[in-house]
Amino acid sequence: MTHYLELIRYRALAELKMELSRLYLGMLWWVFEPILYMTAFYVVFDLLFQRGGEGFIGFLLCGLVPWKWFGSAISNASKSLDANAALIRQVYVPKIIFPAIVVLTGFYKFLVVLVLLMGFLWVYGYPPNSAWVALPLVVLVNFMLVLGGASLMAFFMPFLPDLKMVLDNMLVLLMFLSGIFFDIRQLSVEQQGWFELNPVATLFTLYRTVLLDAEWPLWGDLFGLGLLGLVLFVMSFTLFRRYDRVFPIVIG
Amino acid sequence: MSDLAVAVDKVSLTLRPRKALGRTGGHVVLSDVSLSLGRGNTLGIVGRNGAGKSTLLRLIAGIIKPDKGTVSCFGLRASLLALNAGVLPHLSGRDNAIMSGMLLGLSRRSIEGLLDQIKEFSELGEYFDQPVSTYSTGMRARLGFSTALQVDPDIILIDEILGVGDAEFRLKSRQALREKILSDKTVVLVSHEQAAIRALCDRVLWIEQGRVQELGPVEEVMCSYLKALQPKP
Repeated sequence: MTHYLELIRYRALAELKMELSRLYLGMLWWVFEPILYMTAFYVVFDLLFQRGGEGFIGFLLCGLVPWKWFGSAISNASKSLDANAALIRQVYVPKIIFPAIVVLTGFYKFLVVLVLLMGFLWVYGYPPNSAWVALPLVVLVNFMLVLGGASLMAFFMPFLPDLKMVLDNMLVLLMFLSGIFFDIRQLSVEQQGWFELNPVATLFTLYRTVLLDAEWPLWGDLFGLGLLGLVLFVMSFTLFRRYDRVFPIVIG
Repeated sequence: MSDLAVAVDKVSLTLRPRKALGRTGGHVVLSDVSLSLGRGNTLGIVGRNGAGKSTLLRLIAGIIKPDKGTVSCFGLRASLLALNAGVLPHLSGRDNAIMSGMLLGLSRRSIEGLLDQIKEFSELGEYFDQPVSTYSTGMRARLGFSTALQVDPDIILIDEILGVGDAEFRLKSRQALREKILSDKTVVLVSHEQAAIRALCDRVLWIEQGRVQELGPVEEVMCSYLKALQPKP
């Protein structure tokens, strides 16, 4: 067990190292990419449609930064077993390590970007406040949610290869439904009710509460999301254990 | 029977790879296969292509599970001699050796302790710390073989890989593997090289279309196997 945790960590770091050595600008891309991404939204929603209003960039970033981790982890994890097919055919390893590596790699990058975000917010007019103490908890809950979602997708994808064709579109839809670039609180009460069913939207609200509103997160939401992540993870862990030796055949 | 290393009991396996909608069925790869192997012994497996030899090795390695029957290695670690499984080409040979070692079940500390031997055996020199993407095919094989040789599981499963690289390294790697097999190692060897089977194995298993055709002393089994391979008059 500890051996596999060590392996996950080593391989996640190795993949980061690899990514850094492959690109000329290396680590800068971890920052540039979200900025480019953000600029696109900023141009469309703030400059073009003038839907932004004051503090729009901060608002946008608090959703975008965790989303980059969430979205890419789900997308990459769902391909992770196929990507490691040669290895899976030759060596026995618990297959759940592959989505876990993806999640951890994304987590390291996320941490770097999160620190930069906090610095940016400070300059932008949101100085550090005592609610930031709760940030590690929000990150932990975020981690559980990403891990649970990513491992569940990684499990089902080899059995349902056709899902690949729709997954990325589903992720785009999920992003739009998560209120990254509009405030859910501006919607009608009825619509808000629907959005509250989306755990990702709730997650972004947690980040915004702590980072922008300088308030403690809603503990009920925090706990609920953490529990959801845990349940998803335990579910996928059980499924992976049960079907661990079926994957080499399914993938082969 | 505590001196057993591998026991395969009445194992059957039907493969049903994922298919397009509406296609069903699978094909029987192994059917009612049993064998046992004592510690320190070497078993050869022969048979035509598609007979199920590699699948049997993967069952013993614990990579896949049979539909029926049981496979036991009595708590010993059995792994395939796999070259460059899970290699990350943009990392150095050193990092990849550590990764392979860990994937094959060694702790990070023990594989790090073996790095000098891996480097020396592979004769990669300075290239050992260069990215694997700069290696030639032969160099990759050297790295993979040297790592696999040092990892040294309790039971080695070999699927046709008896030597790699150029003429010189091939000789050296064959020699090293041969020494390992002939020492007190438990080995299962799949090979089409009759000379290798004769020289290295204690017993031979001949499988045909997933069924055990014959299991016994080397000369006896090889004799009937070769006879069966001859075209019928």
